Amino acid sequence: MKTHHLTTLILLAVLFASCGGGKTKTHTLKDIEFTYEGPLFEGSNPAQYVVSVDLKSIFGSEFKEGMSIDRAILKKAEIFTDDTSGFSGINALVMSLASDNAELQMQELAVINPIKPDAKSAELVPSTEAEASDFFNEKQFYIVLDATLAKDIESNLKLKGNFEFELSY
Amino acid sequence: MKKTLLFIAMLVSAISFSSFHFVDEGGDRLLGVWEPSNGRARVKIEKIGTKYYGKIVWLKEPNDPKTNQPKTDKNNPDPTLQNVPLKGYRMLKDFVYQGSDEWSEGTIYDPLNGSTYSCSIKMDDPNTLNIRGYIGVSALGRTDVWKRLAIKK
Repeated sequence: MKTHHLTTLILLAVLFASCGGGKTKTHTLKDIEFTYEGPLFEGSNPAQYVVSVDLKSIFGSEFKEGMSIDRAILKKAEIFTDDTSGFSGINALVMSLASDNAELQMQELAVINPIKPDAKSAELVPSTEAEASDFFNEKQFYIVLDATLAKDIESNLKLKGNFEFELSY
Repeated sequence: MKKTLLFIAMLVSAISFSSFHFVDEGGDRLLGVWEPSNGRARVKIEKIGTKYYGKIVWLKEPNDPKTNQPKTDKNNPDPTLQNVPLKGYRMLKDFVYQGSDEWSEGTIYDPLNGSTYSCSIKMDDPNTLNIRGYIGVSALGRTDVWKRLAIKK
């Protein structure tokens, strides 16, 4: 009977270890500013922001030397405008990640098309298939935000974004 | 002796700086607007970080004839990204300048079938590119000739 209990306990322990091996953490990149320098032309205009990856500050007390991200999924991407006219004149937004590492291919992560013209914020729809851990395992990467304009704009355009990632490690 | 060493150090740093600068400038010759041989699109090549990307800035037929709405990337294998506007789509991605007027390590996307191919670019002259898309090895591929839109003299 004792042996039976022991076997069950070992099996449960193995099952628990195999299911609960990874941990997840939500990491939000807040108030990321994108500046589009005018004059801007009708169509797609890119702006980029350099993200420096610091796992120590992301994980705080949970940080361990040599740790890496196993999975990074974009859960939410929200873009804001300070302009009183909202997103009037912006038809679509596409968010991508890029890296200087030749091994890493640019990846589209989220899109909104079309945007409600009078909205003050736009929530992009994240890709259900894209996975971005390779970018978080680099020292830095670029967030590229392409804004599709309905017409030419003479002045600069500024947008801000919050990007929420679920990191598995 | 110290002066000689200082002179050599300055010379070496000047040479390395100028050669680095030269390589960077060479790669940037790819920047501009280009037209594939079929004339159905125009692609603007830009730089993000140290790599080169080309996005569609003009389409001969910008609207979907079925919906009369601007075309989107409806053949993207990722269904959540099929709403990305085709005008503005980056069909050339991640090219690294290798020197000698060659850019490689990149990909080319065919919006007609949603397929991505390995790709290399060779500049024949300042206004002509040979764009070679391939699967696996470069020998198994197809080359298209692209022309620069604003001709450089």
